[in-house]
Amino acid sequence: MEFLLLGIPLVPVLAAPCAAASRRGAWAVALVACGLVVLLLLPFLPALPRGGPVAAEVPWFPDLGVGYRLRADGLGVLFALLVAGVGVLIVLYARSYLHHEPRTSTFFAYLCLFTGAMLGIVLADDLLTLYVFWEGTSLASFFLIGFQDDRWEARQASVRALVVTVLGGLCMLAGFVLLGLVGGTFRLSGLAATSVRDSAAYPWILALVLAGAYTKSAQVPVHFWLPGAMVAPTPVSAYLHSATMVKAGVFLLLRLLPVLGGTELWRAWVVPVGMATFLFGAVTAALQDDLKALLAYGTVSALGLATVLAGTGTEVGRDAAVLYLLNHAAYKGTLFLVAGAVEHETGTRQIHRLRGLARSMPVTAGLAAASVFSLAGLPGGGGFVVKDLAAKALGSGLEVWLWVGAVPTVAFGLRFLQVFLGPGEGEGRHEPVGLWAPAVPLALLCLLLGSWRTLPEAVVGYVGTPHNVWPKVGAGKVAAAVAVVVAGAGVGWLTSRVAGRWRLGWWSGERIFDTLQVALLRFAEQLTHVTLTGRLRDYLVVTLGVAAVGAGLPLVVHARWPAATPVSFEAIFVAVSAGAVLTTVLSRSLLAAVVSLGAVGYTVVFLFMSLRAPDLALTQMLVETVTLVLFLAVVTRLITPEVPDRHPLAGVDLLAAVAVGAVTAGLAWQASAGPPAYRLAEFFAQHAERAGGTNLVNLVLVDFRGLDTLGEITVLGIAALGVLALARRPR
Amino acid sequence: MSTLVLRTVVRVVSPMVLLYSLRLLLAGHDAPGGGFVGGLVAALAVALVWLAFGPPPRDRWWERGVAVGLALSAATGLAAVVGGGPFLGHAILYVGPVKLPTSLFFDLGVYVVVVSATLAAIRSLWEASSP
Repeated sequence: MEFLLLGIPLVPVLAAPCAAASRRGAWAVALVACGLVVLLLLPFLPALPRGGPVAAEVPWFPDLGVGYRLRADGLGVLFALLVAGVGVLIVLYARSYLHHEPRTSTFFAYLCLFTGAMLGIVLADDLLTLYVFWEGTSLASFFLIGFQDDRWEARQASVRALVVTVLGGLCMLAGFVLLGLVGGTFRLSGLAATSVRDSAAYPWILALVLAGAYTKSAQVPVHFWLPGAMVAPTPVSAYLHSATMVKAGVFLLLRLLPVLGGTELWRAWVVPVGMATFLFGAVTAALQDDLKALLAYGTVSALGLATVLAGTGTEVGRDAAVLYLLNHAAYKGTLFLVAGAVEHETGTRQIHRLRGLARSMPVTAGLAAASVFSLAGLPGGGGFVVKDLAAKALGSGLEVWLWVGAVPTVAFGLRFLQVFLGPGEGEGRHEPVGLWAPAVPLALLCLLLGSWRTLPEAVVGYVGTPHNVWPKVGAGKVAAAVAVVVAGAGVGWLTSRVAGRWRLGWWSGERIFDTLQVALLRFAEQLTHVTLTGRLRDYLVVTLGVAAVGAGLPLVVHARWPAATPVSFEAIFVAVSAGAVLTTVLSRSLLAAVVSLGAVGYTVVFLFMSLRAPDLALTQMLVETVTLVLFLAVVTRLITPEVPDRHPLAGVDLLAAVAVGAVTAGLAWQASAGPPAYRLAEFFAQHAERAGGTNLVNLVLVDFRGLDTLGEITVLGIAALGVLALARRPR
Repeated sequence: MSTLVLRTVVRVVSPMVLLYSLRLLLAGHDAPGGGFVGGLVAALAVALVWLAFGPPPRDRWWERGVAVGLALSAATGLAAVVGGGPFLGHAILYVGPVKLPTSLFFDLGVYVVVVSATLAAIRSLWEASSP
């Protein structure tokens, strides 16, 4: 079982390259992957109520307590089933929907990647495992939104979505690290017991984690990436941006509820944001004329309500949120698939241009009606059960807002149905089986949630403790539901007058994002102009200056100067070397400068010899020789010697050179004056025997510090390639 | 610079310098030397030949040598992982009476990288500077 569990997210991930490689069968690969995941998940279901969750782990960074950990608990398995199950339907739908598209292999490969990452999120039992999969879904979403990469809107929308979700994700990562440190473990199920809520870092953790959840679940004011993401092919909108990925934020809230939730702060930060999103999304949705934009704002609204439910922090709230997300995935998924079918057959998504499609697309119309029935919260649909439970969870203070928001929600649902009503004009339109059959199970699910009592109770039983979630149907409740529908119809009729002409402008957030983006790019351009002068001398001064200041400041602050050592005969080398340096600097011929620079290097050879370091002396001598040969044989012929009388930057150059020299000398002195504990020589000498040699310098190079050497020869190789590129003559 | 004296000297000296570079490489574990120094000496030997007998051939062998050397060094590190040790861990093998530390293979990679990188740099600058 453990082994099975670890493999579940990897099945679609491994299927992705296969899908990308196969030309016509990519959809089949994706279908098999999703189907296999469903089959693999099934054995976990019966074990849940009896044996408790199955957990498995592979060490990742054992020293940090981070592992690839998965855990199949009720919440996780339920969402994993939803992800994989909807995945199967979406793959079938996409096969029909995209049959004209040239790059379907790539499409299905990204879809597989997404499915794997999403399964990882819902099953993860480790904060960092969760984070990695989280960013995986952001990446897959980026590629799928920008799938039609020849369109500017698609590229821009994908960038917006990526930047917003990844920024949130990075905040979340910081929050996770804090949470792991405060809680003492990165294991999610191990965190529950620790009292994170009492720590001083709790507000920070909460704020950072919420940033991740809000960006992913498109809460106001960062909701704008979600309606923008509607440029993606409709199967993507249905799958990622309605049924699964955007739920990850709310899922995270539910996951962390036992750890972070239930406090006053939690309620104060989660409920208002969710409520604002719920109301804003519902009203904006009712004002849209584009079928997919309408559904997108509807999704924003639904995510808001789910956030509010999670924000209540109670068990009832959690159960209501789970049922709500499930119901929403079912009805909104159906509506998206219907919208895609309508666009596929008519070539437009504008509501005002569509009429009477029920005659030519009866099954599609029926599916839409079933899902709007559930959305509207009429008895018999899943929405009724969910709304009843939600009202219970919100309590009397907040319940009124639920009813306020329900009116525009019904309004946009009815406006969606509008395209099927009226006299039929759609001659010659048909509905291919591939475009409606995949929606049937989803539509059935949202109806069954409201009519088959076992289903919602089983769901609640898996997630937590079973309790009675079935509403008592009374005249009052039915009347209230009908009243909402009537009010919604009225609002829908009103909004259909202005829909399409009304623009969000700055309120959409998109424009703010684009303005900031342009400003950032312009700033980067300006910075580039200022810093990249194209003169090597400038770059050297900056690089050396930064090095001198960066290393010099700690040196000045922390230095412990050793007692002065008596002057010995080595002073001779220093004097000779200093003279050679002066000659180098003052000489007016390039050749003379090169030769005297060589003299500096050779005096260092003598210094090494006098300190009985034959290896260093040998290396120094050879390096000097090679450099000299290179200069004399090659470089002097390459550049025309040009020594200006007085460079305008001579003062700055001098300063940088002296500063770097002084700091380097100071560092060397400090290193030699370090406390005995830092002297590695003894360690190396003691362990030389195990390394099987007597030349310590060489042992350090190839054995003790082999990784450094590997890095150094890599740098050497890159430098050689750099010379190659620089010396290539322009053709 | 391609004088008769230089050519005569190089003809005798270069092979000996190359041999000496190998000696530096092999003896590095117990005496002054090692892959880095040995590589520099070998590069000098080849550069001498170029100075005496004309410009370096126009091929890309030395650039490839950089990659080969890096791969060799990294591979010795990975071999240790395959053997169950840490990355870049080493052992001492004995072939009959001859001691053969596995770090010698790592050092051989260093040697190849240094020879190749030095000669690649000299050659490309040479080509750029010749009219």
